[in-house]
Amino acid sequence: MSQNLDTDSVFDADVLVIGGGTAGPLAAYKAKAANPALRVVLLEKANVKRSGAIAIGMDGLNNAVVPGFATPEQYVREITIANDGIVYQKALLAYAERSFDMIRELDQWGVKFLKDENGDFDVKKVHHLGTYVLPMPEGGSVKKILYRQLRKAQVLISNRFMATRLLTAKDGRIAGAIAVNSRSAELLVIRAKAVILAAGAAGRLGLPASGYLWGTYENPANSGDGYALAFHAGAELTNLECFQINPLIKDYNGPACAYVGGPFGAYTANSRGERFIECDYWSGQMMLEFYRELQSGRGPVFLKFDHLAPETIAEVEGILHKVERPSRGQFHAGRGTDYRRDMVEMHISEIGFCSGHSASGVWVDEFACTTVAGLYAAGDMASVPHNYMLGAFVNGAIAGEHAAEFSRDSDLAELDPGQIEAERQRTRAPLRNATGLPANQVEYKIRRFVNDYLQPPKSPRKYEIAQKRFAEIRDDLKRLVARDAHELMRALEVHSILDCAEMAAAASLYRKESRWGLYHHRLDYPERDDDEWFCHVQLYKDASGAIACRKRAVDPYIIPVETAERDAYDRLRILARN
Amino acid sequence: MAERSFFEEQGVDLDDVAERLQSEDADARRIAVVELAESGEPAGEALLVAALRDPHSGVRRAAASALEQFDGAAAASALAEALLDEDAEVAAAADASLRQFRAPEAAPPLLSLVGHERADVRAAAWRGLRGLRVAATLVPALRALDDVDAQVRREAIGALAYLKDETTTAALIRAGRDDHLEVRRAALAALAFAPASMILEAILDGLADRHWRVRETAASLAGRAGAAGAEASLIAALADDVWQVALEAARSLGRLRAGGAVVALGALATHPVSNLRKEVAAALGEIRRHEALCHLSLLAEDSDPDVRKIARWSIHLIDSSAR
Amino acid sequence: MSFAENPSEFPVTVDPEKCIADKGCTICVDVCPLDVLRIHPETGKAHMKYDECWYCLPCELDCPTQAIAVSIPYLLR
Repeated sequence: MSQNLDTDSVFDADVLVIGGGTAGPLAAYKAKAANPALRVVLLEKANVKRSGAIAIGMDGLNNAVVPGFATPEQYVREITIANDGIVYQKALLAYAERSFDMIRELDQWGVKFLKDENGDFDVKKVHHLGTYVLPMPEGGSVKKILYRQLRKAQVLISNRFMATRLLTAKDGRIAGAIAVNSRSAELLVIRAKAVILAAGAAGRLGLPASGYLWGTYENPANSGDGYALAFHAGAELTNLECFQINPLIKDYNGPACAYVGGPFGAYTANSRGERFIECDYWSGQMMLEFYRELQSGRGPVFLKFDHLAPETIAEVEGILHKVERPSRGQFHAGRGTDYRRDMVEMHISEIGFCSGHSASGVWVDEFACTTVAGLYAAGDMASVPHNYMLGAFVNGAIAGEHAAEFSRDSDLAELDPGQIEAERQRTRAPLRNATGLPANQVEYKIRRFVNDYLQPPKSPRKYEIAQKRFAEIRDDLKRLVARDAHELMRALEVHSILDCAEMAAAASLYRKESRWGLYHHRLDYPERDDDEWFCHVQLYKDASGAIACRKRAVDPYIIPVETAERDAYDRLRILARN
Repeated sequence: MAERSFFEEQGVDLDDVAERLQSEDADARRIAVVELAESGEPAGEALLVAALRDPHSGVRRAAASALEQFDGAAAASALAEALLDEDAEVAAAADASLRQFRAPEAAPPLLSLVGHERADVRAAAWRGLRGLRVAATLVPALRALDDVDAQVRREAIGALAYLKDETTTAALIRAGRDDHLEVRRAALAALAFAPASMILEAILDGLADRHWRVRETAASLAGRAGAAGAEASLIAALADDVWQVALEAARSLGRLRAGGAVVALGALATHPVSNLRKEVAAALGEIRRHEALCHLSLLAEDSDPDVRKIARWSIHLIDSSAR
Repeated sequence: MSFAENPSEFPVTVDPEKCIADKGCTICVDVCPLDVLRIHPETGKAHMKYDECWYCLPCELDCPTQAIAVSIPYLLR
């Protein structure tokens, strides 16, 4: 390692984007497009070519709002209901209104969506009330296409840098960020007028049932750094108790892709080969039904294809085994599973934070602004619910455009040398330790406790035990040892993972009711309590540096949800028979 | 300060790449091609075109893939030539790249291949032409519907379908009687743009086809096109041996709001395949006839929750339309 | 008894005959989201340095010479 370990390099940018996966590239691209004179820096922990949740591609849009199939208003209503009413509708509408333009722009860039024989988008009906699924059977090259656009726009791409702390000015506004190189351990200080966080989900929070640290549902590079960055910079996070839990292929731990198989006639079934899910929309309620079936005598749960024609199955395999998680075919072959004959065993994922599928995250408004001036967030880590990939693109674009405008009217803030020094000490510590704890052991222990104590259904006593264990582990962090820059990255990720675990515990204990089905199913408060808890739970760092929570009222709806409409929807999902 | 250490290099040194492309070592040339491709440098196109003539097939394949980003005449000419490459993987890469193109200027080199002696080349040319949507493809594509090779006929239908030109309707209807299953399916799917009155005959023929996948496509087309005249045949298709055909027929009868289909749809309420029962429940709701309520109340007690949900929703639709 | 260093079957294997990393290729190293691959200083060929594989396959799919094979980690197989 070079001698400049302890000398900082400082770089000035107008807009700094942290995370080069899905939302980040769009944010950087749109900021640059809004004003080509800006210095736009895109910082990525891995390499922008293949990073983030869609590193290998994506096999479809789950929330396409395409004229003729769905309207923005209808979409906002449905997401409102699917999230038990706790939404900031303006942000949902901002997404929905730009959804189709984004699809067209991506289509022009060469992203391949399913088209019918006449070349029109072939949107599929999966939900009962709206039609939102646009498959991408050839969606393997999304990242390559984004990367090319970034190169053309001359965004400054900085790979292999992990942002570890945001820097703030005396008045609390954003001042920049500190990052550590995962190859050289070099520290980089970036001053920026605006910072966009797009660091993805917290995918290494729970431990997969396999016990394999890297066998996560999410891309394991998404270790929840964004949540920790936002928290320490003073931004509010919201509804973190609304966990992400997804149905997936057992052991392989990849998505079962019911949205891919669904239009072909495949479905999720119990051991008798029968459907059992009552809930119509992807939600915690659906996951609760899934969980109960797994625990019941009718369990476990399977993905069922064997009733379909061989021609249809071949077509489905062509998508599922090539796009998003292409090693899936190899996994099935290893176990001798053939969709024509066998149902595929499913399970539920470890817990995580991810607005892509739930409603948690760093609080943002309809312009992707967080509660810290000049700080934005987009994608899986921002609080716009049911974002998925398209939401990450759209909200990334919104953040990029707004940040470009913001940076035009503001100056670089003064850096606080104290903040930089403290972060230098924190990030250097594992390298200075000659002996100590390896990151993977500390990580394993945190994540095992997350499974033991935080996994729903939630018991308050277990949560308190977890908090005690986490506090003990926090003391251990100073003993983390890293023999090289790569291990340093892993050690610093452990800090993020522990931050997320503590936030998950605090938010869950604060909301004293059950809501969002399995996501926040409290054993001591099994009922939903709209009188007390029809609100967001905002989590933030208080003056003492500790985690604090407060209620935030749900803003008046801009798209009213009629009672009759809600009842009709409820009729779909409430058991009519036992 | 040294920005270079932090950021990826912008652009690429073309002279350096050109020099490496002259290397004796094929692997060095291949690496140069990949770097050029990733740079997105517009001026790199000429070097990539030249690399398509490299003696090493791996280099040619990399160049063919890289050219996908240069949507235009020059790259199209070179890639069209690469469709004839002796190495099948190079030709396949050229084929894939050409399918990304949208610029009309890419058409002439591809049109010059639609009469090529090799059927796979003709088919690839049509695949490339489809996304360009140029009127000049219309006449040769119509002619290609009589090609001896089924794959060529199928791809020519694709190019015609993207044009959505009503004058091609008769030819597409004729293609709907092709010997080859996939050609018939494609032709029927292609007709979705045409007015229902013009394609009714094709739909009826398709519903009587010997292969279930064609019947399935025809049943779907009837609903998409709004072909009310197909109602009786769709009702007959509800009794098809293959449930997938019945499912599409049910969906289309719902779209057509075919009041005459209620009894036949109701008869499927106890069909063993739940996917079909679900579609029946949905169709009965869309038709919005009071007499469907007896079938729907049965479906609302179905063993499958999806069927129950849809049935309840359909009952709600009928109730609220009666008000 | 467990040794401090255990034998292990790594998910990513590289065929040194096909690998052209010694000639300047770094594609597999670049595209790994978890950054677990490196060029070996002695052989000049790519290899798996950190046992942290998400079995996601870009290294295998993007390799220009098809030198890489990824197998599902044993714990999940």
